[in-house]
Amino acid sequence: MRACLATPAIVLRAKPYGESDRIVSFLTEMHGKITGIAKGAKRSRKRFVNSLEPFSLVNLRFYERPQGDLVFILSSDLLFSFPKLVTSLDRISFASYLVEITDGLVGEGQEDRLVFQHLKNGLRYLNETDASLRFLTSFELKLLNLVGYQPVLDRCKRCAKDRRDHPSSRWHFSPRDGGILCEPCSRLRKETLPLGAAAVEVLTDLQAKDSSTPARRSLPSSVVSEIRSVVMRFIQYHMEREIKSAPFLYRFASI
Amino acid sequence: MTYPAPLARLIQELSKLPGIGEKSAARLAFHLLKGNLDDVASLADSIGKLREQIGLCPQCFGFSELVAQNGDPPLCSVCRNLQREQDKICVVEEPGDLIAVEKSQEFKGLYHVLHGTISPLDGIGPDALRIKELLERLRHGSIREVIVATNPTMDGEATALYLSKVIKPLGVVVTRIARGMPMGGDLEYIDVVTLGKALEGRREI
Ligand SMILES: [Zn+2]
Ligand SMILES: [Zn+2]
Repeated sequence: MRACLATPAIVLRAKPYGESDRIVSFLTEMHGKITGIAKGAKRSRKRFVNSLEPFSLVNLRFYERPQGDLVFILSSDLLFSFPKLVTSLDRISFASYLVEITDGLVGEGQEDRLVFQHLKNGLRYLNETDASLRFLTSFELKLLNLVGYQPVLDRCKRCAKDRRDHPSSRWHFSPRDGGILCEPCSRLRKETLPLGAAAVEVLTDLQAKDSSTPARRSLPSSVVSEIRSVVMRFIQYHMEREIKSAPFLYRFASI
Repeated sequence: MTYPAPLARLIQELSKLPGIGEKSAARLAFHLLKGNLDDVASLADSIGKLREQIGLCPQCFGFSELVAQNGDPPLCSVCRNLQREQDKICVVEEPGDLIAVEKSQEFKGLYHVLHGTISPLDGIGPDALRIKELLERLRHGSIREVIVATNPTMDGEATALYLSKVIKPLGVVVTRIARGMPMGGDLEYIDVVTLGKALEGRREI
């Protein structure tokens, strides 16, 4: 008999499997991201009541199975459902996006309490406060940092030209290089995105601060759209697939 | 030992069905092989006719019996029935949910089946559902209330919120069935009492 493991976890996604089972992915506090099968999930109100919906914070009990990647989910008890997340399309879109990019950037089984805390804090913030572009971008940058993909923003990633020595020059962002490139270096790359000096400044600023720092200075829309496309493209580059919830952010959330 | 080819084929077909593994499939196949010939013929006939005789109602997109042979599929029995309250539409995710609501006997109006839900995590937007057709019905008809009976899941809520947003400007009241049912629940598996209560306690959104 294998030992049963228990850990707080956040439900990332769940899909039906066969007539009554579900396959559910969790980001757990103690064991990283895991995917498991919840037998009888559609009918069993006792073991899985209310607790397999995305965004739910649960106490998960499972055991690993000798063969196969799927763990066996014994039970999932709801700790907190972040109830306000499903009260508007705006919040649903934001929360889905946070969950999807976290899911996409974290590998299966990599234990990382900080990432778990980060997602939990993000969902809690969304549950309590109206989301802003600033919150979203801070969340993304900190997540990238936690999973080891912190973008280089202070110098050209290729020739190391310092950005502060050239305040007026055009910059470009290269997802492949993982940072900004100066004008000459960017010509050597095919896939770069324009990132003006103002946008780099904002990103650097957000990277240095905590997402809870309230500063509601509104940004010019050109800067906003540059930042959006650079950060999303960079995340997508590392996820190696499209971000399905991104169109919902544009359509339903005010970003 | 391997199965004779016809038997192997049947087992393979049966094991594609939901909830049927290879062992159950083999048991069913052996049962059919030994069973009464008329019963087996009747089963085969009803499976064969299923897709031929059932289609989607062109108005509500629930199941409809295709009795007419002259081209257009006919309206379903609910849409045809003028005794039903013609000013209310209950919106559900799947045809099975329509049948579940009917069983509760709490609702006497019309239906609209979306064939899915909005799902940000799966990239399913409103355009992938039968929402255009619903709005079309609302613009033309005399509908005064739309009752959103999508499942109390994240996707079901997203769908309800979206419907409310696009329907309200048309001057139609939008209500949502009450949470008699837990989040994460599924209409098809809810008992009729709970479902009836949920319909009774619907609220405006
Ligand atoms: Zn350079
Ligand atoms: Zn119909």
